[in-house]
Amino acid sequence: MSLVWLLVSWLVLPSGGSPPGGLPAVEPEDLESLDPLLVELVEERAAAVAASPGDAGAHGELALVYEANRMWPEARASYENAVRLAPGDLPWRFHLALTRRQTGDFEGALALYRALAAERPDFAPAAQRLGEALLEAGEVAAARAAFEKLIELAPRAPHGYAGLGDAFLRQGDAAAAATALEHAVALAPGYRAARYLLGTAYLRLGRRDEAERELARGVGAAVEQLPDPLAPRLETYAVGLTDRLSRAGAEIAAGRPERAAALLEEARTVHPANVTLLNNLAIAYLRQGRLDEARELLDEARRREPAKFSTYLNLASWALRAGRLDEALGFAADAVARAPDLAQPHLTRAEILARRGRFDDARGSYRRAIDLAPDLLPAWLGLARVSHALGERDDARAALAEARRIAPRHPLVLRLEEELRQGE
Amino acid sequence: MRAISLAAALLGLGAGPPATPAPEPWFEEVAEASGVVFDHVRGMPARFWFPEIMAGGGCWLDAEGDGDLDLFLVQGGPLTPAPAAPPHRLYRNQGDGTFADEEVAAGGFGMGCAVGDYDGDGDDDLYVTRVGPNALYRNEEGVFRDVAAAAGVAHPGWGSSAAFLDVEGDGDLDLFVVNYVRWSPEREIVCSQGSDRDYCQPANYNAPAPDVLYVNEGGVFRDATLASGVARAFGNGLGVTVGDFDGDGRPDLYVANDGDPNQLWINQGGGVFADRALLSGVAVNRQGVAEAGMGVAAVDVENDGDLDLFVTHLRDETNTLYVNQGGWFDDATAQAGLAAPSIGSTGFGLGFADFDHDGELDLYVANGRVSRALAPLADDPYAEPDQLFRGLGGGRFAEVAGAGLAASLVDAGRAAALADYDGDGDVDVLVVNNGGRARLLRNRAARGRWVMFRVTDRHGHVAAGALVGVRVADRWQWRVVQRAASYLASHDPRVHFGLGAAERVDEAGVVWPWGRRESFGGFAAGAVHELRETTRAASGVENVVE
Repeated sequence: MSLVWLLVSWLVLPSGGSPPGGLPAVEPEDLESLDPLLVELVEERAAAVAASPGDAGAHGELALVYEANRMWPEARASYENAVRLAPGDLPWRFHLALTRRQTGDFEGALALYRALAAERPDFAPAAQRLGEALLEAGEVAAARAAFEKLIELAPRAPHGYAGLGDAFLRQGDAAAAATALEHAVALAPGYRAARYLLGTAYLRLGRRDEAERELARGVGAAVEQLPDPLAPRLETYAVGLTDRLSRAGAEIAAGRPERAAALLEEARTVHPANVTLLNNLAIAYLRQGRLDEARELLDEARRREPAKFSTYLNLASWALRAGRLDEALGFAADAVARAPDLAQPHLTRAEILARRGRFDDARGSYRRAIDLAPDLLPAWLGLARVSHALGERDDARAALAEARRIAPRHPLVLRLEEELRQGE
Repeated sequence: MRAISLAAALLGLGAGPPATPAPEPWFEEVAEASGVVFDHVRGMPARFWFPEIMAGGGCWLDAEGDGDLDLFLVQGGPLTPAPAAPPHRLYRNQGDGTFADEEVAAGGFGMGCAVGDYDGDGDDDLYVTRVGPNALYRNEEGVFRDVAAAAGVAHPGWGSSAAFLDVEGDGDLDLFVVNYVRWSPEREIVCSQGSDRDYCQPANYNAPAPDVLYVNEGGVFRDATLASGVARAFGNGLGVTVGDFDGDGRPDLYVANDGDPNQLWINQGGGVFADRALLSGVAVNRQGVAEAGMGVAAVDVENDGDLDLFVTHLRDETNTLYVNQGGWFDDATAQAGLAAPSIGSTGFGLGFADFDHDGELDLYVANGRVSRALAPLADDPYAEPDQLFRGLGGGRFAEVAGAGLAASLVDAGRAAALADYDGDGDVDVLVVNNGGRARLLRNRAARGRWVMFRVTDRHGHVAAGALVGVRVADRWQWRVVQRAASYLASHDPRVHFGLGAAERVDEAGVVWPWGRRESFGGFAAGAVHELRETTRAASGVENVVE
């Protein structure tokens, strides 16, 4: 089905009542150009729609596939279908509002959030989205009411207090904002957006030191939303390579390399030549101790793209795990040669030199990494360690101070502080 | 107002001011008719090398010193090999609303440009950023010659925007160069957006590039990046502008970064800068999220005599208006009516001007995607409509339908550079489009009276960062002398004021870079006047030059 036709259909089709015989599945014009795993999923869900064209759930599931893979116009069109077939079905309407915003229809999204919040005042995700949209629309008093409602619905979540604090700030009431935001931070100390807003409130109140601390803790926040009932399904539908790599990275970071490997092995069946995938799969294998398989992948990656510096970093990591320090140093040097203006190769080389006890050389590499990335925490920590090992305590303290500036409560910073204190 | 609100409510709308109908177009697209036929070359189709999608710069300058503004447009190309790079274009203003086209050898994939008289010989020179090394075109009686290597400014990185400014107050122009990402063809990676191949985002490379400060030492530059402190913080830099943001008399710098916190480099004197973005509230958005900063402008939207900041961002983020509250900035985007309308577009170049001469600043934003649209609005999947916002007063804006054009233009907008190129006293707009044709939007909206000032310091340089005010009766309007702003662009160096029905301004005042304040007398509307820094105030002296 032509997407152009679908866009027209939003304008001309009557909005009330379900059409007799149901609705056809929304499919992109260029289906064959998509990631093969995604094509498979779309075809599967589109077939379900074809089998039951009057089933709102079938259209909604297809919409979820599109939304999970950021195919917003198709997602919106599919949710429109689901809502036409089941106008009272909350999840589809909620996600229709999300996709309206993503397709640039801010007013349409806001209107739907208002309607949802009025009809389903117990649905916290809609209250949150409504509050945020009202803030963006400049309707601060209404936004405040939405966040107050959200606090009623989800009193243990920080989102309502954070939104309320933001609304108070916009109304110029920094003291009330600080109170709300302190509550949000108490509920979720890691909720960076609340910390940043709290820092702003402190700044307005003239509490500069506290402001500086909270702003530093909050900067780099990500947008956080209350999960809605469909959120878990979205994740399982994100099958594009970028999403898989991202999910695999998260699994590795969470200490689940076997899950990462499974995700990437499946993706490799359709992306056998992708060097980024080969590298990531090798990392998953390394974390599981599957050294031979990792090395095989890295050699293939090197063969396919000899200039890719990250492959050599992973080869260095492989050599370290294999206990081959000299080889590791060689691979790190290869990475530096291919990307001399990036910090990571210098950092890796420094770490290996430090392990070899070549502290003076390691210090030079740490400093080069810091020149290239002034806020690179591991480099400052490493520099502090090697400076300490070289007996240069002032330098060690200065490097530790920089690490503390970057991440004052980071466990590695605290541990090194303790080590250096004991060493003195 | 009541009727509009009620109508909006009946439609289930009600968020922000509704788009203002445009009974008559504000602009007429005249590029081809004016002799400006410039097709930007994005690069190799289907290769998706990152620089390709970010390019498209343009600058207004007076190449011959004849008083009218010429146009320099920066070409992209195939990226490699360098000798095959298509030429940049210099469009020389013929004085009758048309331009004569001239090639300028490019020598590489161009990004943006900055204009300033770096050698103090009284004419405009050009700095062109590239995917390394950058070029400095010295103006030799209207002919441009690349002297970057000899001048010490041929930086090899991927340059984006740049700005000339006098950081030390010694009377010559120094140069700040914003760098984006440490990229090379060997580091290119494969990205997709859930569908087929597309351009990557800067975070995929995890390689932000440090910016560079060059200090002018008699026409040759010294790299003062480390000594000045500007190496201490950087991100994926795209936009830069100059102004005295803390009111201490020294010119400061603001750098917009793509996905990293921005920097507000406050000039400490002695050529040293300190980043105050975080404590000033302009590093990230109001929730602490580092957004995709693209273009930037210093502007006084409230007419209270201090500089606010406006930054364009990626779609799904809002553009951001930071209002200066004296020591800190407040994100006032939503209150200004600029949040909701910007969520659906990716903003790049921009410019504030009083296009309709009603005494309120308006805003033009050039939009264009960086990832392909699955339901494209034009042949180019990266194309989006630009936006025009009419100033309502009190720091509020309302979108004008169709960006003020009779027929919408949908392109992948990048640079937007403002100038009165045709000398009729109103402000026109140049938009450079990535992989598309440049647009020249001739102003048709101006109804009221106007006045312009050419503002030069005691050395005769354009006084970049000076704040200029005019008073009509008891109302002041303020503008900043701002060439370097927007995205990959350089504006008309003159300041422009719409005056409505007023026939003259009663008073003009300047806060010069380095803090001196000077008051001038009244000036007639309908002319370009010169305000030159003197050693004593020239109150009451009317110095009409045109």
